[in-house]
Amino acid sequence: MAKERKYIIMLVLLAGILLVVPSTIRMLNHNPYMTNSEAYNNIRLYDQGDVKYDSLQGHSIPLNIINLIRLNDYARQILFNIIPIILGLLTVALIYLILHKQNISEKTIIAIVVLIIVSPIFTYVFTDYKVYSFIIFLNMLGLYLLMDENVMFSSAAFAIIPFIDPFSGIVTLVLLLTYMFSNQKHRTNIKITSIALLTAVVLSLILNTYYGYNILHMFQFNLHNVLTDIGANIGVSFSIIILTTIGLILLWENGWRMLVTYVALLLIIVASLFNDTIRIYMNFVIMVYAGFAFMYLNKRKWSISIIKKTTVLLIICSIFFSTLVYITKISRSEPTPEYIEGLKFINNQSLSTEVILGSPTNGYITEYYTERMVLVDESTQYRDTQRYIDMENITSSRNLERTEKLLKQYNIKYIIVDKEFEPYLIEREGLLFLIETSQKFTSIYKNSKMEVWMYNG
Amino acid sequence: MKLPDLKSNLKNLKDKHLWWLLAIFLLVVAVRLYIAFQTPLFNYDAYFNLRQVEHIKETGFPLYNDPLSYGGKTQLFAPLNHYILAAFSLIMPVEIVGKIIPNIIAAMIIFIVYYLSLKITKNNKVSLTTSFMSGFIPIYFVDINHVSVNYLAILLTLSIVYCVLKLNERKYVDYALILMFLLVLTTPMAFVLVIGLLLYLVLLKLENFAVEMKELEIILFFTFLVFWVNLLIYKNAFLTHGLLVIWQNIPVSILSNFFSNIGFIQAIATISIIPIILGVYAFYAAFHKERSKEVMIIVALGLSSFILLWFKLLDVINGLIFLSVTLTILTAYTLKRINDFIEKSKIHKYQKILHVTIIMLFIITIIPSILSIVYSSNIGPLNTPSSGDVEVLKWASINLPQNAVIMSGLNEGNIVAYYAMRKNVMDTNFLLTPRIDQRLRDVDDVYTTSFETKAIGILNQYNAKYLFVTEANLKQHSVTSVAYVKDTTCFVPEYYSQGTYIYRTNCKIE
Repeated sequence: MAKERKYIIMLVLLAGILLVVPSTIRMLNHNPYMTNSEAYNNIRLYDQGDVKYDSLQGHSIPLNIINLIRLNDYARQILFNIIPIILGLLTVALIYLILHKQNISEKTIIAIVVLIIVSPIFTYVFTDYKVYSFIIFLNMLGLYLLMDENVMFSSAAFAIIPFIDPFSGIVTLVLLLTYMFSNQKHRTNIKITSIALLTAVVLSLILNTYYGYNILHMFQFNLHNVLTDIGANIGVSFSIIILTTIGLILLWENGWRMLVTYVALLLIIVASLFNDTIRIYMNFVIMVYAGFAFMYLNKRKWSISIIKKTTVLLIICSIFFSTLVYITKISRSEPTPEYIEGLKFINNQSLSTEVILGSPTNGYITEYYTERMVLVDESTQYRDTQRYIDMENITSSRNLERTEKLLKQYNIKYIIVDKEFEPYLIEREGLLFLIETSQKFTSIYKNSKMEVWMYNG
Repeated sequence: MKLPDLKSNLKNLKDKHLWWLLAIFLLVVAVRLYIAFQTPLFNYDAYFNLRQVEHIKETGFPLYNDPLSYGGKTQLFAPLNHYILAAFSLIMPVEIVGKIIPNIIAAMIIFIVYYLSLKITKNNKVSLTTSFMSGFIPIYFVDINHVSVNYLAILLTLSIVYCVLKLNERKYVDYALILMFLLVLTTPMAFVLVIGLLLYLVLLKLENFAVEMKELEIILFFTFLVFWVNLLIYKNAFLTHGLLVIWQNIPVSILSNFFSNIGFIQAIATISIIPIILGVYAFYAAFHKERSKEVMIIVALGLSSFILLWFKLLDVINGLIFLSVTLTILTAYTLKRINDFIEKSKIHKYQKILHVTIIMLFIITIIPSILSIVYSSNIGPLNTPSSGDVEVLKWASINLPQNAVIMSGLNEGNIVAYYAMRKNVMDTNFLLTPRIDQRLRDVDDVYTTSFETKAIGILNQYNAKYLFVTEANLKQHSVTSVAYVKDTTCFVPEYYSQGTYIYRTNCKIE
């Protein structure tokens, strides 16, 4: 028991260090701002107080019960900055305990947990306020309680998930059912929990529909880069993919009896290529297989020992390389103080009804700091296709009349040309041409990170 | 016959074959060097490699922060081939090293093809025939003046394949490990072998062969090694271009004309019809008649290059080289089958005649292909800059300001950096360059537009004060001259030699 406690402390410590490193590096670089992510959107939605409608962007939002918790400024700061890290640490401890209940060897458990901790998705989920930090924690808590034969509390933990994010509730349900098919143990408990979760999902969908949210919008599927080695934000490293494949082959027990489970897993893995939420979930599942594979490669007798040593070393290096690349990337990423300065300038300069056109990838930060509507943000392409098409038309058209019509239609007054948006505009060759030649636009702000153009029409 | 006598006879026999092998090697080297020295110059892209070799010779390190390419950019490449050439350049001039060493490495393929064929057929004569064929594959003549990394890559790849087939001997494990390290430090084309080896495992499984653990282990190791080393070398490119890095940021217009330099018939001619027929038959026979692990690994390598070529993930020349070499090795298998058939038949006395006939047929079919490749204005080894180009650029190296930027055609970017030692606007190292399509369009526009203001605008945009105009470039752009240079107020001819000009621009567009 003392040994277990020691391991948990060490793993939690490792997780703590990795979760704190990105913001520490940013602080040391005199950048106190959070990395660009959905956290900015979550904080803004929390601050506005309305749980069903985004009053700035003017559309319905899915019900999230975290937004119902009202806190004072101090507690709010804790919620946004410290709670995700604490949830991350608790998740690590829970994963360790869950694996312990599965008759897995100590070394394999440690390998799996270390792989989870150093995975870029773990850092992504638990460094700032993302709904996934609550969801993953609740998943692990529910699973732990399930293993501990505490069905009521387990069901309660799982049942909260759909009220934070309905889509995550559905994914949890699918994974629970997959687990049930693959495992003879806890079947009755899983059935009860699944029924509770299903009820919660249905209730959440009814509530969301009642509040005017189009539930089809939560199915956000698009092809993404999934390899963190080549720059993906929410992805896994190449080595993990190979290890997982080996792990899946190794754990192919009982032949065809596992077929349903394996087919379901493969389908979920394929779906994870297209959806961030599923990919985040799958990260925690595939690490189990990767951990097994790693231990297998490490333990088995190789015919050539030098190859064993070099291969294991290569695997370790490539996994840590991937973590390093990710941490370096987010430590250096936008927004920088100069960028925020530009956004605050727009906030001071503009009227509250005026709309900003900028890169969709910086939409959430722009909304947060300017407190103005943006034409497109990260979610627009799933939510409002017409708006997204119009953005493409504005950026690619050289027809001033057509562009002005669209600018007026959306009341767009400011255009932010930054590192993200400039290459896009250059590629489109439309709006930039009009900005330079039409004399309808005035440059009102410029620093090393952005240039702001005002439409004079 | 006593046992020692038998041994000594066998040794003599083997030696005799080795002498033949050496003779073939010398013949291949001689032919290649003869063609290489038809011109004192190199293909356009070779000058990038020569600059790297010279830099390593002077400083001990490759020129990763290239101040001249694209006006200054980071170059990403695996440096082993350059180091090998730099080592030889300590004892002879770089230009001679660039001519001799890659061609000797290229000719060394006959040894590895011989041993691979021997492993497949256990027949010396067949193996000698195949190794002779491999030395004269027409497509293999394309890179004679290219100071190419391809030859070393092919040699190492085939050597690794040979070691994988002999993993039961401990020393071959060590050799395989060393060769694998060398290959990943030579070229990203190591991926061809990774995919080939993985396909080999699949084929073994499909054909119910037992997969040896040693093979599995070494393939797993190699897969991790290739991916990790390439991630390290090309990290910045991966982060900049993402998955598109596999197309090396090649401009769309070039990528869409991927196969245009070589048509279907020409592709067959460049591989040569005999290896194609005999190789494809071997492919068929290996799966349907007499299954063989040795053949399967070669088939897997060929399939790998074919798949990569099909999806345009491998340069067409490299792809065809890989494909032709694998088909040539597979030829050995078919020849062995024919040999066995004849031995059992009544015409076994004519076995020698058959060998000679096949070699003669091969020679007859390759000569036109080799000649057409050697004299090809697109891909041939004699497609080099003219002496006028070199003279003008050498003049520029002495007379132009150190920080001058010279606008040249895409192909000429590397010779501008090499001979003039001045910044170019564009060359064929596309990685890490933003807006590559626009840049290529701009460069093309400079040579094709009839509007002076447009050309000056583009030149200003890239800070290029000098315009390099060659006959080859004009021909490539299908124009007879640059329309606007007649206006000597804006464009002053600075130097001229044999149809090549360098102009200075005096005008600016505000």
